[in-house]
Amino acid sequence: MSSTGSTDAGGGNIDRERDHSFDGITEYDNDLPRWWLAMLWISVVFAIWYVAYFHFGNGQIGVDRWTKETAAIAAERAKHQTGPLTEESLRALSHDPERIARGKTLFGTVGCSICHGPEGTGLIGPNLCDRYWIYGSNMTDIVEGITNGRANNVMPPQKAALSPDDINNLAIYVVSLSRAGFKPGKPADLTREKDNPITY
Amino acid sequence: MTSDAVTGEPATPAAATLDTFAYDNRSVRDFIIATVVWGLVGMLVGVLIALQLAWPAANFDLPWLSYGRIRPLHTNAVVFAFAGNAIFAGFYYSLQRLLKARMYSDVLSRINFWGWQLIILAAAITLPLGKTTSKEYAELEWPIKIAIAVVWVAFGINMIGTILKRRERHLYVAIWFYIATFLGITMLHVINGLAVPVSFLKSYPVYAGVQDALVEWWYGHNAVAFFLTTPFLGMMYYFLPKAAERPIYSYRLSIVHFWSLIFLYIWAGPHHLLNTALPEWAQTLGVVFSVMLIAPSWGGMINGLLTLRGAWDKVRTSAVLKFLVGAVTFYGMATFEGCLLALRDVNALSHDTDWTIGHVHSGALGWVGLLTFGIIYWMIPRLCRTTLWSEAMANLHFWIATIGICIYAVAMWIAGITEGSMQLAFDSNSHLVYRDWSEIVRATIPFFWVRLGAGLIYLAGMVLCAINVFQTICHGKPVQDETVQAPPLIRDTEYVAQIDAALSKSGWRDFSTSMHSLVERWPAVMILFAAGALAIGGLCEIVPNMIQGALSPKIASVTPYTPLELTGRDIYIREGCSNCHTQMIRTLRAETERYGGQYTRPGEGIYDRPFLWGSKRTGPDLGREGVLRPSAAWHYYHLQRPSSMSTVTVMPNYPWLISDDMDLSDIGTKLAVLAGMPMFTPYKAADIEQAESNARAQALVVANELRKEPRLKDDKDLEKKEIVAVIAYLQRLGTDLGKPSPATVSTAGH
Repeated sequence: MSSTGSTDAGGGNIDRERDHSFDGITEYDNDLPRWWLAMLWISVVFAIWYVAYFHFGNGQIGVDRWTKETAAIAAERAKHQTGPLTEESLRALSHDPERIARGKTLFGTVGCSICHGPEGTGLIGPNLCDRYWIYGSNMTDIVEGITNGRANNVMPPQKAALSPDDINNLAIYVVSLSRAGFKPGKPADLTREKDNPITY
Repeated sequence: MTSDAVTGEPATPAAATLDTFAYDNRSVRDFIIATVVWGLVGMLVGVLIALQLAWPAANFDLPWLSYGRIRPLHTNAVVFAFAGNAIFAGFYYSLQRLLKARMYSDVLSRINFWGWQLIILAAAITLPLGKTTSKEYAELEWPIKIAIAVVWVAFGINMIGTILKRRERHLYVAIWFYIATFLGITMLHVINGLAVPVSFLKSYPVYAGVQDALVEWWYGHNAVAFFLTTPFLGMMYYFLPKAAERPIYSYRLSIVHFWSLIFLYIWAGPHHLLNTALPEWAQTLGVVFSVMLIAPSWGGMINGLLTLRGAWDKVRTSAVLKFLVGAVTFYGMATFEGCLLALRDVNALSHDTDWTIGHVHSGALGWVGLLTFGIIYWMIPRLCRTTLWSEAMANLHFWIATIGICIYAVAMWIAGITEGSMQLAFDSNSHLVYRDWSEIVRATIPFFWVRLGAGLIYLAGMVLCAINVFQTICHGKPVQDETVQAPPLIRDTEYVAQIDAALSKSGWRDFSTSMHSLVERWPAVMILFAAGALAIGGLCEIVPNMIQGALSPKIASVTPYTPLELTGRDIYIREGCSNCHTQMIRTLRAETERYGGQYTRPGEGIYDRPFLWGSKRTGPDLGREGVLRPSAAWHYYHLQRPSSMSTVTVMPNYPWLISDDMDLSDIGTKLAVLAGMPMFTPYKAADIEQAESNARAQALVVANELRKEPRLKDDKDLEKKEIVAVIAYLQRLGTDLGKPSPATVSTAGH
C-alpha cells in the first residue's frame, strides 16, 4: 500500500505535515491518490451510462424485461401443449415415458410426496400404488383433483402453481403408479376408497 | 499555504493564561461497560437465533422465545446497544480531547447514558412480547421511539454545546463525521418513525405500501451509514493515528471522502428494493449511487491504511492496532461487496438470501465489532491509569474474532448463493428445478450449523474482552475527572476579512483548502452544509415517490382488509413472520413461475401499513399465499406443527395461536386510525362501528370451513382463536389482483 504514495509525485506535497495538531494528531497534506480519484470518476461515468442505457437506450429492466422473458417461455411451452383435454386424449398420452418422467419430477418437487410418500405408497394421504380410489380413476378425475385440490384443500390445488400441461403430466405419473401394480404402504380405507383399477 | 497562514491565526497565548479543566472520564467508562454488557447479551441472542434456524426445537414452543420475536431483539441489541454505547464511549472520549473541553453538560451526559440504557431495557422487554412495528431496525413502538428521539437530541445538544465551548479553533475530521452522525440519525429516525398510535404499544405508520417501503429502506440503509459507518469512521480518524503515532495520510482525501460519502450514501437506499414494485427510476438511483459509493468508502479505508505507513511493525505487537487494521480492512471488503450486491442482476440472486446476512455480518462483526474492541482496549487502560490487564488475551481475542468472522462470512456466502441459485434455477424445458421449498431449506441447514459455530467463536472473543476490561478496571485506579490544561480560544470576529483572504487564494488546491478551513472554523456553517448534503438524496427520492403514489390510478379490485384480516395481519406482525417470509414477488420470471404467475404490483399494497415485503426468505414468499394455498385446514395444521406439512422446515410451531383467544377490543380504533390517515383507507363510519361484529362473523365462516376437517369438527371455540384471524389474512394475501373490481370502492382515496 505504501508504494501508492509515490503516485502523488508532481504535486510537491509528499508527506508534508500541516501545521495543525489535534490532541497530538497531525495530518499530511498529501494529494488524493490518483487511482482513487480515477475510481471515483469511473464510477460517475458508469452511473451516467447506466441511466442512459437502461432508461433512454436499449437496456431492458424490470417489467419490460420480465414481459419479454415470460413471453418467450410461454411461446416455448405452447409447442409442447397438450391437446383437447378429453378423457380419451389424456388416456392416449398417459403412456408417454417422457411425460411420466416429468410427472415423477413434479411429484417430488411440488410437494405431493410429503403426504403420499416419496414412492407414492401413502403417508397422510392414501397409497397411490393400489387400485383403490376415493375420487375415481379416470384421467379427468385425477386432473380435477390436482387442479382444484381435494379434502377441503388439505390436498392443495395446483392450478395457480402449475401449467395445465404439468398438471396433466403429474396425473399421468400418478396413473402410472397404480398401473404398475400394488406396492404395500398405507392400507386402503375401504369406507371411502373404491376398487377402480386402471383399465387403460 | 496552510489555512492558518490564510486566516491570520493569532500566536498561541503564553502558558500563563492556560485554562484548567477536567475531562469527564466517568461517562466514557460507563458507556464502555454498557458496550461490553450489551455486547455479550446481543451476541448471545444472536447465537440463540442461529441455533433456532438450524434446530427449530430451540424455539421451545414459547411465544417470547420464538425466532420471529427475538431476531429483532438481536439486531436491536447489537446495533443500538452494543454499537450505540460504543459510539457514545468513543465520542465522549475523543470529542473532549479533540476540542480541549469538558462535555458541555454533566446532566445531559447522565441523561444520555441512563436514558439510552432504559431504552434498551424497554426494547428487551417489548420485543419478546411481540410489541413491534415490524420495520427493520425501527421495530420499537412509538413511546420508545419518542424516548430515543429525546435522548438522541440530548446527546446532540451535549455534543454541539461542547463544540461551541471548545478551546481548539478547527474542527478535526473526526468531528465532521460525528456531526453528520447526529444530523443523519435525527432526520432518519424522525421521518421513518412517523406513525399514528392506536394504543399504548401499537401504531400504524403514516406511509403505506411502496411509499412505506422506500422510507423504511432509506432509513434502514442510512442507519447503516450514519449509525454504523460515519461514527466509526470518525472514531477511526481519532484512535488510529493515536495508536499508530503517525500523521493522517491525507487531509484533502479526508475532505473529499467525507463530503462525497455523506452526500452519496443517502441516495442508495432503494438498492434494498431492486426488482420489486418500487418505481424503476428509484431503483436505478439506488443502483448508481451505490456504485458511486465505492470511492468515498474506500477513501476512508485507504486514509486509514496509508496512515500506518512506517508503523506496520507496531501492528505485530499492538492488539489495538490489529483490531483497527482488521476493522478497516473488513470495511473495505464489505463496502466493495455492497456495491456488487447493489447491481440489479447480482441482487436478483442475492436478495432475500443468506448472502445479505453474511454481508451485514462482515460489516457488523468485522468493521463495527473489531473497531469497537480496538478503541475499548485503547481507552480502558487510559481511563484507569494502568496498562491493559492482558495484552496477550487481547491479541488472542483479535485472532478468535477474525477467524469467527471469516467462517461466518464464507458459510453465508455459500448458503446465500446456493439459495439464490436454487430459487432461480430453470431446467432445459423452462421448468423450475426446485419447486419444493423444502429442498432449498435442506441445502441451507448445514451452513446454519457452521454459522452457529462461527457465532460461538466470535462470542468467545467477546467473553475474553469482558474479562480483560473487568480486570483492567479492577487493577487500575479509575479517574472520574481528568484534570488538563489548554489555552483558551479567541473567538473569530473578522469574518469578512477571513472570507476575503480565503477567496484571494490562487489555484484550485489552495483555494479549496482555505475555503474548507473556514468551514472547519465555523461549526454553524459545517452543520448547515452537512444538513444540506444529507437532505438532498431523501428529498429527491421520497417526495417524487409520494407524488407518484398519489397520482397513480388505483387497482379497482384492491380493497381494504376486513377487520378480521387486519387482526390477523397484526398477529403476523407481532410474531415477526416477515423476518422469514417476504411478500414481494419480484419482476423475475423465476419468481412469477413459482408464485402464481403475477409479480407484485405497486397498487396492491396501498392499504398495507406497514408494508410487509420483508428482506429474507428463510421460508417461501407469501405474496400470493391466498391464491396458491387457499386451504384453511392446511394453514391450521401448518401453524400448529409445520413439520407435519413440509418435509424439511425450520419454522417454529405456533401452538399459542390455537390456544389463545383473539383480542378484538381495539379493532374499531384501528379502523378509525387507518381511516384518518393521509391517503386514507376507505373505512366508513358503519365499518368502524360494526368492526367487531363483522370480525366475529367472518371468524365463524373460517371456523366452519375448518370444521369440515374431521379432526377439527368438534372444536367448539375455533372462531374465538387467534389462528382463525391469521388464516383469514393468509387466505386474503395476493388474491385481490385476480378479483373482479367492486364498484363500491372505485372512488377510494379521493
